Amino acid sequence: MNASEITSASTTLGVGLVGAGARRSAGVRLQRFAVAYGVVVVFLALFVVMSVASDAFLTKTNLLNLLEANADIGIVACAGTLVIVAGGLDVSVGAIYALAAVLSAKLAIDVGVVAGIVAGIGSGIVMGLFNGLVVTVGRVNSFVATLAGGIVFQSVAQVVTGANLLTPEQASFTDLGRNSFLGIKWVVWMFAATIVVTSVLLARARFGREASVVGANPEAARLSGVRVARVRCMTFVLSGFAAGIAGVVVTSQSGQADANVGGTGYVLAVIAAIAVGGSSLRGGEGAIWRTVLGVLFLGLVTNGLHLLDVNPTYDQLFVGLLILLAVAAQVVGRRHAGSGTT
Amino acid sequence: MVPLLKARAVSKQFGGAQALVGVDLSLDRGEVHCLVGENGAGKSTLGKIIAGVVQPDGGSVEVDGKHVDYRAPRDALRDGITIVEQELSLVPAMTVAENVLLGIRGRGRAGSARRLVERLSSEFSLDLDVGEEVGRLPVAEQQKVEILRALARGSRLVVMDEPTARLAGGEAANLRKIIRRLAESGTTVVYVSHFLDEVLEVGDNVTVLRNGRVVRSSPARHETEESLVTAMLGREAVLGFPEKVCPDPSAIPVLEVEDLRGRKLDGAVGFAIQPGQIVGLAGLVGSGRTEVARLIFGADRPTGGRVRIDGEDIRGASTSEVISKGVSYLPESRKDLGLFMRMSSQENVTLSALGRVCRLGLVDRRRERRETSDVLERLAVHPPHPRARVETLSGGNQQKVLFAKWLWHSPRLLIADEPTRGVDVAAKFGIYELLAELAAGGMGVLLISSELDEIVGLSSRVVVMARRRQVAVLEGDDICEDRILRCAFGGGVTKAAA
Amino acid sequence: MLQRLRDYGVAVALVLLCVVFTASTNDFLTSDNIRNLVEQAAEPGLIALGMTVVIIAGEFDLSAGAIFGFGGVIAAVVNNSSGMATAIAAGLAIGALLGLINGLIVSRGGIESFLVTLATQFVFVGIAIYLTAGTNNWQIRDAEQFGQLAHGSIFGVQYGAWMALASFAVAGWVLARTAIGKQVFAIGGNLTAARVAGVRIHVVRVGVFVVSGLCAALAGVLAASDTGVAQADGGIGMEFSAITAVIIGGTSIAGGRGNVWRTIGGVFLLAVVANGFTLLYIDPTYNLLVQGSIILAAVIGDARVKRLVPA
Repeated sequence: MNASEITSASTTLGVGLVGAGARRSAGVRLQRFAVAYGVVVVFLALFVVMSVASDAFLTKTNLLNLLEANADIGIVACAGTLVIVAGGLDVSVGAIYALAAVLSAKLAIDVGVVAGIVAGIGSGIVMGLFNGLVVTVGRVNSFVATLAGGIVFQSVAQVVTGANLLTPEQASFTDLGRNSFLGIKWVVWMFAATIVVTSVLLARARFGREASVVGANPEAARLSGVRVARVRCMTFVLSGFAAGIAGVVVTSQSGQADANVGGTGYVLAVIAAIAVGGSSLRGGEGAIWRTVLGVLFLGLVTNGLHLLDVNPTYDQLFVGLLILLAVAAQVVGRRHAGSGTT
Repeated sequence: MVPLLKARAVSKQFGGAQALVGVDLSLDRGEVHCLVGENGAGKSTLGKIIAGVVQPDGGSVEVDGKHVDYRAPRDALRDGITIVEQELSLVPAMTVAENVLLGIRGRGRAGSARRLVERLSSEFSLDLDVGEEVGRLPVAEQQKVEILRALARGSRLVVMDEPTARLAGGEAANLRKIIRRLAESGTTVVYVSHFLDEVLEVGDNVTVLRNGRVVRSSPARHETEESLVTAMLGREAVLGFPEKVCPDPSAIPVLEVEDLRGRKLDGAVGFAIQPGQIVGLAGLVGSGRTEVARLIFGADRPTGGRVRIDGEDIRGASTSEVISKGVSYLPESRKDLGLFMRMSSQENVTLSALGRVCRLGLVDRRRERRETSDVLERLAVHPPHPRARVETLSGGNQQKVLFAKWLWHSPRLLIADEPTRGVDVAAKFGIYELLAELAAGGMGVLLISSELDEIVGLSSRVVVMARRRQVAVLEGDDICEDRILRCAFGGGVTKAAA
Repeated sequence: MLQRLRDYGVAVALVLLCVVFTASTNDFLTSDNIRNLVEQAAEPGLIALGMTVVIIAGEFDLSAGAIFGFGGVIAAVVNNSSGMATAIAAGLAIGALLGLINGLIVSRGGIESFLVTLATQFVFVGIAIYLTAGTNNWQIRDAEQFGQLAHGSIFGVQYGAWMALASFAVAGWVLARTAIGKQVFAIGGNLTAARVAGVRIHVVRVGVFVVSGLCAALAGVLAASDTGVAQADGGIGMEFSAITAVIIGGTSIAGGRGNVWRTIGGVFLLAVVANGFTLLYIDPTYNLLVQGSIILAAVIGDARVKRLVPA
């Protein structure tokens, strides 16, 4: 199209090409970069600091331990990112984790290892589906729905264990958690697999794009033909599935399960990882790599605290502070780099 | 006499764009001053600066001869300046009286405060039931609550931003009467609007803005619609409706609605749209037009009746199914329901039919680019680069992306709900041209509009709704503003549906 | 009809439960048991009161349980050095301070309250544990004397219950009858409207968190007084019960509507359930399950009502 055609076509349909947001100053662009990639910078900085400060840090054993220790949270956080991007919130992951752990242990003891694993993971899926249905069909706000659901799940876990500690002894059960492949524990491989799958889902798959629009504006998404309820429900199912896997794997690693695992501390860690990573907690945008960085960052911080001989009781105190700092930084960053409207 | 408000060289920047540059404005007591201009010309911004909602970057504002620096609406309130925005700011769960008195302290006991509100309401012929919950009131009444609130604070200046955008004819006329009463009692009104005929009727003075600058300020009686449009655009513009196309009555209708009922409707709806026909859906605000559109589109579930697209029954289908049958719906509230600002134009366009660019559940980006480039070119959308977020585009371009979204999969039926709302005069006619072009290509168009001249100018058939039921179907010579209005107010004969 | 359910449902449920329990055991409808019930409801009731105000303003306070513990700890620590009156004042002051911190981060920081208070919950508990030198317990010297706060009584009912009642009355009056009360509803109902109307949003919002902190701290001080020991993490989980009580009482989770009397209904419903369980020797583990199920049913019901009732 030549210039005059362009001008007449644009005036035919629209207004002059003046309007909000056409040009961005360099300062604004820098701020946007900082908001978007700040977490990478901070992470690298911390990594460097710790390598320098402690000889024990930059060893293969220590780094592998770091991955191992945080793999289960990582798996749950990756799935949790999908929920948040779709505009929801799953605060029942700690409880799903607990019930899955407990069920897998109980069935491993009573029936068999395979039954235990199936029960654990299956229960995660069922609980996720339950959450999803309450939110979509029941039309309940997801925070409240998963809050209530979480209470129910955790209490069922209490009932199942009768306040006892369950210890499945079978080797084949604990193998899952304790064995390695190419020198790396299975749980880390599972984390890696989760990262790949969720990344593809979010960034490349139709599901991911639909989840993003549902989180950005559910009514507009519906009017655009997206099956909103289905998408949202699916995110909760995936989150439950992940929490179920985490429960089974950790039980397998430790060889024991009781109903007090998980809980709000777990939820805090998962949400902290996602928030610190930089994905917006309001939904609509987010990335798995961010969550991974967030998980590792939190892992680094707790690792560092322990190296500094800080009592692990205070771990959550620092995680809490980190959430506040991370979210505050995001909010401030967005405010400065944001665009206005006429 | 010192003017009530004087703005000097006011400028404002948003992000990288200049919304206002070197704007001067002078307002007297009891004056009705109108601000006109294209979308993005800055009139809304100027109104917001006056009311303290937005802070200027440069220049100064004086009230009663004294320099003021408003950092929040509260500051302007103290000087007696209020704003009634397009998005009404009311608390739905509270009553009219409570909303009016919100934030006003020291009003004594509840009883006397309520009486004050009642007195104001009748004094200005607002006729509101002050005990009613605001959430239950229709939009036109809610707007009156806002005006009442301005009065209760003893406002000396009220800024109204597009107040008649969502009002039907009679209500808009009523509002104009209220504004004149306000002016007569000494209140200054700043009236921001696209409706040039209203502006000329109710305004004392008119200021035209273009690209953020003042073109001229002059008394309304010295202006005409044409002179205002010329000033707004900087050139002459043609303002006429395209030719109407006569549809082929023997072809299978693109849309056939038979005995359609829904929870929010009071009766059954029935009409048909031929290929190449533009059918207007007219009625007052709240008469049920958008509800009908939503039922056809699958956004709400019908409770009875049939909907056929090209002869195929689609009643009860979900929105995604309806879209796949070739129906597009351009919703009323474009900013809220149309575009996803953080996605690119391509991604916005393909959203309604993602299946077309997906393989095995994954999005094929190359295919997406190919498929969307055609329609984006045709509408002359030129983002800085292909993956640029829609939020970085100008308002006009954004609108084009929205049209592109609904046209790219060549729909059979386009439901356009208030397509020219908030659009300035020149662009409006551009949209009319587009609609006529689409119809000429065989598309059926259901045009929902509160602007009677649009309905009359474009439609070859008009369905009129009143109080949530269909009251008339008008054809040919029966289509005129007079007839439509009478039906819309509750009269009229229901002709047999086609 | 569903609107009526929301309005009176909790009252009906409460009455039904009482009838059922009275029929099931002789121990329920005794003056001792009822008195006990009311007294036990004082602490959760106070926390629920603060939570109600916060929820009406459209926010959440998940740190209430943490402030409960903190308040008790501070009162205990101060009591051991400065005596009872100062201790109580200190406990309340810390509650207000922690609430102030919450409010400032939420309002000035522009961050979602559930996220902020989820984080501050752990920060406050952590600090409280630190203050108790990591032991998480603080024995109160002169427990007898400090215990008078909790154990003293008027007409045979402990001070705690009277304090809770008085707090409810004051809060209820302020919400319903004062301008600032209306402003709380406004920021919960339509924030933009409140801003345009000139409401001092930051002040009101921070204020509701301060109220919540005060209520939680008062409850914590009462608890410390009652048991003679202060536990830094003794309140964990109480915020969920409080939210449950508020919701089943019928206050909308979305904010903008509701009142404190509904919450009393919710608090008593939960208290009666727990009480009944004890009397009937049902495993207390099931209590949490029942609570969770009740809140689930209540929120689904709440969502349904919202759909059907416009506005």
